[in-house]
Amino acid sequence: MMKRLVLIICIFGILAFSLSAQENASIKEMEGKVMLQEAGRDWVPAAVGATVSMGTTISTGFKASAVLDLGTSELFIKPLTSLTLKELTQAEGTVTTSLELNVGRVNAKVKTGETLTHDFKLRSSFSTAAVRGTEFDYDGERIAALVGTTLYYNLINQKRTLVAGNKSSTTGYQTPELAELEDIAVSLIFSGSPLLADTPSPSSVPEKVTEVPVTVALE
Amino acid sequence: MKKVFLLIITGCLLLSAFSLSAFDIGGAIDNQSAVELEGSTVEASFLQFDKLTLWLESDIGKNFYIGAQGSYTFSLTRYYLFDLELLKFRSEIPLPSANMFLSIDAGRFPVTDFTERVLSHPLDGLNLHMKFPFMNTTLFAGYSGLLFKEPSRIIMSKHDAADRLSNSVLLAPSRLIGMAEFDFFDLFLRQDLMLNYIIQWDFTPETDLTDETKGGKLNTHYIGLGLGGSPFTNFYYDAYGYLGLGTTLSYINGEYVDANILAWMAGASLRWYPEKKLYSRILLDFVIGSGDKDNYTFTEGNTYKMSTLFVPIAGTPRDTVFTPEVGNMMIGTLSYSLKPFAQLGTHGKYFQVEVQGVVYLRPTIGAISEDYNTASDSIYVGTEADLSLNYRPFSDFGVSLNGGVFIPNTLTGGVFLWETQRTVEAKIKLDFSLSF
Repeated sequence: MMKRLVLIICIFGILAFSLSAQENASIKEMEGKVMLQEAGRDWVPAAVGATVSMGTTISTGFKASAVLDLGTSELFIKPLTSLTLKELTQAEGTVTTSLELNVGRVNAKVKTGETLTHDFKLRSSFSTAAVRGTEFDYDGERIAALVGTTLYYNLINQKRTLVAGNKSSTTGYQTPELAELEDIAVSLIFSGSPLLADTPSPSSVPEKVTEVPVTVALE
Repeated sequence: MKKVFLLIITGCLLLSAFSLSAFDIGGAIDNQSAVELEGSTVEASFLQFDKLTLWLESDIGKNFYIGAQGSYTFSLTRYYLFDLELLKFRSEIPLPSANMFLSIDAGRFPVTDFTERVLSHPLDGLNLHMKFPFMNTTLFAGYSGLLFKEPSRIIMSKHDAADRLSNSVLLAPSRLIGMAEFDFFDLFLRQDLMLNYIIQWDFTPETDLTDETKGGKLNTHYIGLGLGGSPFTNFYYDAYGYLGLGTTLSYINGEYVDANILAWMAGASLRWYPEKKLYSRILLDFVIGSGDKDNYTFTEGNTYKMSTLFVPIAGTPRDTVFTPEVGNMMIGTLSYSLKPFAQLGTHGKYFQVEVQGVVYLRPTIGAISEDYNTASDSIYVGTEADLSLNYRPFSDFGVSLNGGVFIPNTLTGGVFLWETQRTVEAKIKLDFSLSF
């Protein structure tokens, strides 16, 4: 009786494991000096086709870049960027991708599939970008939505919905506002010292990455 | 001598090392030179304004911050003016696990309502800011009576205006101001909803008001509602309304009495950025403040029942030739700006041209904030055209040349009388700023 119970538990365990299969990413394209570091190991030079397993950190040098193939999504890693693949799994028709951007800038393309749904999260010390079927530029603090809709969160889960053409930013606890082009293109006139602007003090900038629960509710 | 020199050098090195590790310090120099032209015989007046600002900020521990800013201003009307513009202590309490962030500011700092039309002024006080996943809350209480009079823009009553002209008065009007603001962001269809309540108590001493001709107390409160967002790509809008309540000194049936205020202000702004067309921006802005047809003077001029003139505390000043208060005024602005040399490389993006047309009307035939023709029943006040050339090659340095012409309604029966009250006015202003 006991043996039968153990056998049933083992079968369910194997089934559950197979349902949430761990996926591997790979380097699709690269240019210049790109390095990989698996957790607890030394840095090694990357090559096209190299497998990037969970916990691996990818680093690009000056004038270097790489394209990371994540199966149903693609990440263009720009020069002087370091990021870690935290999770890449597929379970019950959902591909869960989680990356941590340590420094630098990336462009993410999340493809919309007919059978698969995406739970794609890109985190930094300041914010989280959560998307499903979209393309955006992200450097940890600033985001520019290029295609589709992106949900952009700060560290206390304050959300800003961005559509193509929208930009936003946060320093962690700052509410992500819609950055009008006025901020970039029009306001050329000096308006006094930075203290009179309602910017958060340096102490509000967090030092560590904080895990933020993210709910993706997009088509 | 050598010892003194060494001591100074050592002191400077220690100070610089200390400042590098503990403080951020900086400054700014702002210069404005302007020529105002008016009258049929063209009378010119020259305006000069120079301001040196120094600021300092530092973290004290992990969750405390201090910021200070002082300035020295030279102008032709006042040769020197020192001002403490900001002295802020901030304590921050981030609670990411509870999805909350609290901050408390104490000291002197700018306070603004969401429209910047009712309140946009430095004040001494306490501000509690709370952030939640769905909204931000601001609770503020402060006082204006410790600010210097010169840089203050709070002139709400007859007594405030008299103090402004008096050489014996050094400080700004005594007013206690409280504000509660709630910002529900990304609420629906990518819109933000703002709710605001502001209360202002006039703390002018009774002894200063014993003679009724010196004016009375003006107590006000405001209830505001606003909506803003970006319904389409590169298109933004704001729409808002304020209800103004309170009491004001009035002269009704031959005697001075305190009458109630029931006034309103509303506005909307549409902004479109066709970025690919030389970084263009098209702005359409409209604001209207209610007036009172039985007001013969702008401050405390009510002569019948309640006052319906909208009186804000101190909004952001307009950078135009004609700068009336929003009370009993309707202002429509259409502006277009572009960067004509944007395609010539990076430096071309630093140059911008802006043209603007402004139309001024008054909702009632009552008093406006400027000297006007009391016999006029016209609502058309005037038109202004402005041109602005801005060049900012570096984030720390910029030059701006602005010019504007205001054509008042001085026709027969117009709002202004020709020459005695107003003529065609022009202003050319050169502004450069450098921060370090």
